[in-house]
Amino acid sequence: MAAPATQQIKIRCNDEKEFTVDRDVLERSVLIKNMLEDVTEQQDAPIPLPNVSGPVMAKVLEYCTHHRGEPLPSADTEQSQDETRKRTTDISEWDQKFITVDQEMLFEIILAANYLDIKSLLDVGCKTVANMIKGKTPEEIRKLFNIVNDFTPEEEAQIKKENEWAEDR
Amino acid sequence: MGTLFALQVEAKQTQIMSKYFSGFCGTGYVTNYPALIAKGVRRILPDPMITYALATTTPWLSVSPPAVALPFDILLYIFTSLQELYLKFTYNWIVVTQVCWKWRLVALESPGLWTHLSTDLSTAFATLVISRSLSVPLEVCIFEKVVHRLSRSQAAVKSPLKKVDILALEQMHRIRNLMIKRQIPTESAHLLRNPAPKLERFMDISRSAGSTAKAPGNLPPEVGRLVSITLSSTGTSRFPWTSFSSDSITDLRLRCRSKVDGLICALHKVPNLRHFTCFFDTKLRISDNLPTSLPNLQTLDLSGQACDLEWLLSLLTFSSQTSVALQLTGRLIAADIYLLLSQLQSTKRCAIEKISSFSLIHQSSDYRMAIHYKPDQKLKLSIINYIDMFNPPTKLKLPSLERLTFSWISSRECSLFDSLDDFPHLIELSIRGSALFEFVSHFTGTGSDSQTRILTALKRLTIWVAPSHPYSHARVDRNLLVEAMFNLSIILRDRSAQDLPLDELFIYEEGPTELMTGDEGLKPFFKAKYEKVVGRLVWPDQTSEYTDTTDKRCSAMTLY
Repeated sequence: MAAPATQQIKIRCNDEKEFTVDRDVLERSVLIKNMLEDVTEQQDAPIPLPNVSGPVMAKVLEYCTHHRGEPLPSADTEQSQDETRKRTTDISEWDQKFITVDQEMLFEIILAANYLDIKSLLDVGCKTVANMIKGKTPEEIRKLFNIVNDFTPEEEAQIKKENEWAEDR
Repeated sequence: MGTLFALQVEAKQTQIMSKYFSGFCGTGYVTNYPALIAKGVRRILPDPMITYALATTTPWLSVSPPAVALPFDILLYIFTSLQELYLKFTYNWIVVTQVCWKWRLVALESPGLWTHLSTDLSTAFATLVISRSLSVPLEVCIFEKVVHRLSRSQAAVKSPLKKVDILALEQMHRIRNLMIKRQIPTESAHLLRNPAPKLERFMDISRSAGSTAKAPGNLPPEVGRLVSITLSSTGTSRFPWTSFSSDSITDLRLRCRSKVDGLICALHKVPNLRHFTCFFDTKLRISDNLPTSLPNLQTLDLSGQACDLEWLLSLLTFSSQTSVALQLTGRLIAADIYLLLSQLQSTKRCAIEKISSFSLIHQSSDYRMAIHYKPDQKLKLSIINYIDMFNPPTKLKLPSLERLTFSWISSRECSLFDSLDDFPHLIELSIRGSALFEFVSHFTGTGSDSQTRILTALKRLTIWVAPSHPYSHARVDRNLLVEAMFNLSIILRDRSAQDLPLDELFIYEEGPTELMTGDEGLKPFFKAKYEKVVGRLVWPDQTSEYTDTTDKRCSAMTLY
């Protein structure tokens, strides 16, 4: 039988930071939801989350709290390729403000969302990165993300030429 | 060596991605990460670095910048998101293949990213796409790239397919989504005779072209589980309905001219139809041989003569669904719209009660109108109407309206304005052109309770300042505008004082107004006024182009 929505759950991050959170907020994470469903007896011990730090978890919880009560994506939706292709490219205003963080935190949030299995948050993070990439040249992208150009000049020329084929001019 | 990298990558394999992309496994998305890494690392890092990475316990991924250290599957997710930001069938996103070897590797080893083939691609690039997509189902769009204005249909008939089109159609066994937007020349017709076992979505909106219009339709044989068919008038008449039947079709979009035989036949062949979009220009007789049951019908989008009350009531009756979304588009006059709306509101027929959302759209040279209606507790209504043409016979009660746009409303058409006090939940308001005067006069009048109520929930206000009416070219009186904008600033100040500040105020200039810019423009003065009383003021420096902001979720009302 499902526990009451107001049940409080403790979680512990990899830096020993602990949070006590309403169950329905935590259940935005499919990983935690499944863990909680697998536990039949109420336990006081915090759930260890070894892949998430306290500051990142705080942000993730901010997101989960804002979106509590919203329907989780169904398995059908996830498995449908067409639905996947139709995923909206819009990010809501609140989500945009929420994800306006420094790059390091942005990538940490993406990794945490992936680990915790919070698809909507992963979506927001990946779309944000995609938006950052859009319209930029390779060099601008490298500069933006501090990526080293590891192509040889010959490789770079070849790839550039290949990509110029894309459109029939 | 390979084992260690396999372990590192496995550690990075994560919850969502394995599930999210599991749907792509069968279509060739990357699944064999160890092999990929084993191959990829040799390209990303020179051997000495691999040796170094192997000699240390720190995974090499962790010493890279975050954007490079991301697991392969997340990078793929980002690239897929980037792909979706661009128009379908374009490959602007391939800029990521030029950034670094790891990004390139992820992109090149992800067949699901290389699935779109269209007439726009060069032959060389299309060959690359086909190669990189491995066995993934393809989406193909064939269209006439050069249209000769003087002889369009002749050109369509005579113009041969491009080599890239032929390359694409030769992949018929892999095509999942086929869009044909041109006549297929006779010499290439054989390409459409190959089996298409993976075909799910078929569109043939080629134009009629002389005698070829009587040729068989372009639907390939031995199709897979077709879920969607979209056909032009020509396509509908040429489609092989007599030999066709599909219980997998859920989405049918048809145009019919002159006769509706194809339409009637089609409805009998798709018993599990969920979404039906139809235009026909011939009056349909209800006595026509319609199917008596379309139990799964959920949405109806009818236009032209299909906008017939009895016809739509019949279709609604066919559906066994408890709710049906309805959109009607046609040459309905405003009075018809209101009559229909009135009937829908007043009738107790069960068919009407099924309607979960309702949308009427009218477009003609004179005016346009759209009504979106959801007759439940969360009533959402949208009206677009060039209202100079008529006065609505009855006031509309819109207790749940959340978004409202006034556009060029003059004092003659205030009857709907009177019902503003029926909008206690209005949170967004857009005002265009001279409607600003009407709006402001309501709020600077006697200060009745109703005026206070509409302001209570309001959070976002958008104003389009324009020099003249887009159709009548009537000039906006500058003095009136100055007065209105000044009064608006007083309202905003008062709202702020009452702890009802706006979250956002958008002010745009529509066209070269010279009202808000220039040496004697009002911008500096009003910017100073507004900045103090709203949370966020957007006042673009450039002249903006007006775009219709009608809310697609049927929660807005716009008056033109």
